[in-house]
Amino acid sequence: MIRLDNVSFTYDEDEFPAVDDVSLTIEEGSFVVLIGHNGSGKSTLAKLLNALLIPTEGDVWVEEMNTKNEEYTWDIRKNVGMVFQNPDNQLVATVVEEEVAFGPENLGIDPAEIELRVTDALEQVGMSEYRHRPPHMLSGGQKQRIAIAGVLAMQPNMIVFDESTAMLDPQGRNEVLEAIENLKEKGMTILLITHFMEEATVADRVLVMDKGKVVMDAPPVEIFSRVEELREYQMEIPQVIELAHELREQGISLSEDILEREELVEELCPLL
Amino acid sequence: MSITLKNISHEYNPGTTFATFGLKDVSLHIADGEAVGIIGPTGSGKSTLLQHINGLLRPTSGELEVEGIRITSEKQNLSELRKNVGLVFQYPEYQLFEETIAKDIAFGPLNLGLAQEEVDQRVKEAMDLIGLDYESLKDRSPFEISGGQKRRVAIAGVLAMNPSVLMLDEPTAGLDPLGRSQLLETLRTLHKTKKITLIIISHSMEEIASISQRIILMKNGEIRMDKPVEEAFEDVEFFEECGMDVPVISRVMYELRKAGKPLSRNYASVEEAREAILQAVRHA
Repeated sequence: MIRLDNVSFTYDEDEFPAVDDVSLTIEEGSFVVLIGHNGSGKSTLAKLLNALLIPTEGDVWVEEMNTKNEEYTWDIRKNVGMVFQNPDNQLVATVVEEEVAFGPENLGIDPAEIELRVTDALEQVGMSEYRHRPPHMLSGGQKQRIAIAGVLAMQPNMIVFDESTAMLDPQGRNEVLEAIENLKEKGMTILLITHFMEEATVADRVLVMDKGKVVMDAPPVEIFSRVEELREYQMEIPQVIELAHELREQGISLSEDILEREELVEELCPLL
Repeated sequence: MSITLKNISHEYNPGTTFATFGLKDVSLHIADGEAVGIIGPTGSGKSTLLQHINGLLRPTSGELEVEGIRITSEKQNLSELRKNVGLVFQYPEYQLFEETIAKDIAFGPLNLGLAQEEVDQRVKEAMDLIGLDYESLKDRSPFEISGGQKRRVAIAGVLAMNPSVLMLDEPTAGLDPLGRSQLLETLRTLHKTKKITLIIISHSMEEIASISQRIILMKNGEIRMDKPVEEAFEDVEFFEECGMDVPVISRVMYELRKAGKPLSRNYASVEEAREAILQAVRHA
């Protein structure tokens, strides 16, 4: 579990805080999506979760460890893994299995144990057959799955995905999202930061950030029923939800909880 | 002026065991002022096609005529062509390098040997066209502005060459939703007011449907479909066969029609779909 108590963070050169008095709890095993436009503070928030940044005010607790306490820094980073945006900036080794073993090796873990972890991590992201390949020959989606395997080999309780699908093509995006959903099924706590609103529909909970504050915090059905509010925060409405909303405004009776294409088609069919 | 490709093929690493075709027998005509969207899976030849149109790659066989200049497999001077045909690469902001935004945009025109006055004028115009405020931004470093603005600076650098054809490879990749919609709006306006020929590659079907008059689908180096946007998303099975998806709204329309509902087209935009559905509901 992660808890933020009145957390603010201001970058040295800035006048205003990038994260402004945020309090929230992320429960064990939950799948939380964090959205917001550029500069809303979402990446800063992510970096506060694993002590890459330390709050200028307030406290971040990871499993009862305060990120301010440097003694805990490595335990916290083991606990909260991060996958970033650009797969090419995160890969260091020349062979996939070495890449995945890199983290646990740095922790001084027994080689036999590392072997088991690497096998298991590659299996979980569906990349076992690429074990002996050089990472730079892989597609973007495959590279990101290797980055995820590297994080999994650290056996974290939570993984933060900081726009990890932003630079991928549709196929790569689907591969990574599928890997994330698999992890969720297995009980991993997930925070997915994204620009793509469609990715928010499968979450347990959606957070919207604006000017450093969490301005919306609700399950996706509720978030997407607040179309006007989302527009105010310059969020893009997924087109299926937009179409349902506009049809409702024209007096067509459609339920408020339509998120996916299938649901819209199913409700429209009897009306036509 | 226009763009004509006649039986273009391009082979990468010819004569080696790595030999692959980037383009296979591609023929195509793009008229002046068209807005063309190019779609296709990664590795289908989209970027290779653009690089032929501005002469960065020469065809292994076949020939092109672009804005009056004929290009074959023979080596030739293509500087005139590159002035007329601008290509904005993926993540072009990685190539910004000057101290100030104005200097960065001026780099291309200065290389053409234009007088400083003319260059300044072009920088101003390009910034204006792309929606960057000249006075407040010209002397700032291109590294201290937002990602969306950096990309505009990079595109302005191409526009400052006064091209008659503007080609963009994934212009909105990695931008946030606001940055995406603003840039698309700017490009639409640019196309309308400057009558520039626009060729855009995108992985987002929604985006491509919103900006193109005509859509070309590529796969394995070949053109597999070339249709006006209104007709492009009718054959959903064909898209699936190519490993692609149609815009999500077209998919909704398709599924309703498949269920026997009286709708005439797989509209891609929310507005068109809304009107068609409303009409069908009223008639039901």
